Amino acid sequence: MTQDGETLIRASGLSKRFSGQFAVKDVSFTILRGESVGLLGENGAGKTTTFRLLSGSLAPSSGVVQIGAYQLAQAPAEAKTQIGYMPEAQNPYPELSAREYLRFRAELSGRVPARRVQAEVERALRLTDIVAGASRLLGTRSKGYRQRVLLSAALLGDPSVLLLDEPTSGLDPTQVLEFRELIRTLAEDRTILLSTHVLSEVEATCTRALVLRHGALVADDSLQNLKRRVSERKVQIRAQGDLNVLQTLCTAYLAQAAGLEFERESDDTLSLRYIETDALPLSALVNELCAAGFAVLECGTVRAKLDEVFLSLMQEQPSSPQQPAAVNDERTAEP
Amino acid sequence: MRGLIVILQKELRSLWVTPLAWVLLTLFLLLQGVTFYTIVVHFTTLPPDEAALGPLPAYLGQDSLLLTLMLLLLCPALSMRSFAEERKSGAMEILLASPIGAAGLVLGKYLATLLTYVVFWLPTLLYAWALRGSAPVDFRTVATGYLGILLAGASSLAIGTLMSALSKSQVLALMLTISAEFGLFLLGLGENVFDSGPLRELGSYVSLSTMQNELSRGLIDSRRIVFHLSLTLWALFVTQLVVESWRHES
Repeated sequence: MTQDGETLIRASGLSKRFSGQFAVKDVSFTILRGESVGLLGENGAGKTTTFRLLSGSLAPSSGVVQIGAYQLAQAPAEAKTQIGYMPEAQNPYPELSAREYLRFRAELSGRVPARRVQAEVERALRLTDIVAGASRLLGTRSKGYRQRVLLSAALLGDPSVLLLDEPTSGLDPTQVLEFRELIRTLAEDRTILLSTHVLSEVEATCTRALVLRHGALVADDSLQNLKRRVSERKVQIRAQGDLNVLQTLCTAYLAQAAGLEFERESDDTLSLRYIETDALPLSALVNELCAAGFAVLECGTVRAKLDEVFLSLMQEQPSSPQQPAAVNDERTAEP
Repeated sequence: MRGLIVILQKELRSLWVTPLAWVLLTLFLLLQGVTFYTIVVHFTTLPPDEAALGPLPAYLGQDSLLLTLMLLLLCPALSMRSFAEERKSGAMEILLASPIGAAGLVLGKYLATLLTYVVFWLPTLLYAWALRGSAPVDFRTVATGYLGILLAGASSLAIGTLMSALSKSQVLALMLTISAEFGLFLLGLGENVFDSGPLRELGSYVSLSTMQNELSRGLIDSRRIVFHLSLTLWALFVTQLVVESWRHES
């Protein structure tokens, strides 16, 4: 049992090995009540494995998961009862209707009293707007519909923790917007951890991001701080001269740079942006251009977008698992 | 316990909402009806002293060939989807993340197939009722005959449940179960092949034919009951270990 009632998810030193290889390596984080957190990472970064470890469908090789007041390994039933889980790439039973499936999931969850099951199923159907056609077999419904059924199932019984792995996959744009609004409403008194490849979705629904790279946590911070951190390092430079020569020179110098963008402003002016690193300082580029006879009109920092933050984190040198690269313990919530 | 019942109800719904159970039931009752009719017709041609026991012990014993055939096909077909389908579709992830433990999951699925198996056999009780006015019917031997059918089905379905847990394909689970049951059947033939010795003893011990012939005549040998119950419990225990191992996949 924990003394801290506000922490709803705590992962401590979580590792999982498959065939001797780490899928998740020494991942630690806590998520408080009311936080909605995005889990980001490239394919194979360990996002789904992390979800499986947190949901209890997979046991960690080492480390501890705590859901609310319960450790998953010691009190699995109590911990799991608090989790509404929507796994990735699910194909719910095609022989059942949405209503039957939700009824099954409500009974399975252990958090809906038997007399409340029917009412709870109808509430979840309304919440995700799938009442129409809820009596038809799932095997005959579209992927988007089935996806919303799975989301409904995760919401059954009002769980305090929501784990949503790629929740908007298969939804149309209108449904995605409705889903984001739903997440914002739900996040008020719950903990939400969601993974997605759509970075704008994290910006729209989350206040904080965890970034996994090769199974290790490389960033854990508010979106605001992450952007600020990269903004301080995203630079722009405008130079004048023969554009072809200028672009060739810059491309050669910045071959390893993240977020490299060129823009031809006129016949003799080129604007370029990139994420500055210790190995690729802006000052060195300026010196290089001046030495080659180009006129540097302007240089400085510019505001970064979330996808640039993500790219920057993906290209950073891996750090020691005990000291994740960008974890900020003094997080500031985004407004 | 509640989790077990939830799984049991869902499995029964899934089994009976698809055509598989209905097709199997139709074929099963058709085959049983033809068998029973043939036996009854045959008994009408026998002299009274040979027909003294009536056709029911013959039907429930059937020299167990038809029964064995039935178990070889029916039980694997009923149990093949228990775990294989959900592992393939990814639905197992939800079950493993639910508060239900591996034991509840295995028992819920197993009991659903066992109940379905019992439902398949229930209509054949009418045969005894239909005969009661025209031929001798000893309800005690009928009861022991059905006990044998229940025991053999229980162990076959437990093996099928295990095979389904070991495979992601229903067809593979079906083939594995048929192979395992065929292996037991061959082992049972040992009592007819060997004159004496431990192999004959072993064959006699696992022989479905011997068990069913004895039980259909009211003879209860507790060793056979222990064998089928042990086999059932062993298969279910190993299935539970297999399911538990999915959480510890490495």
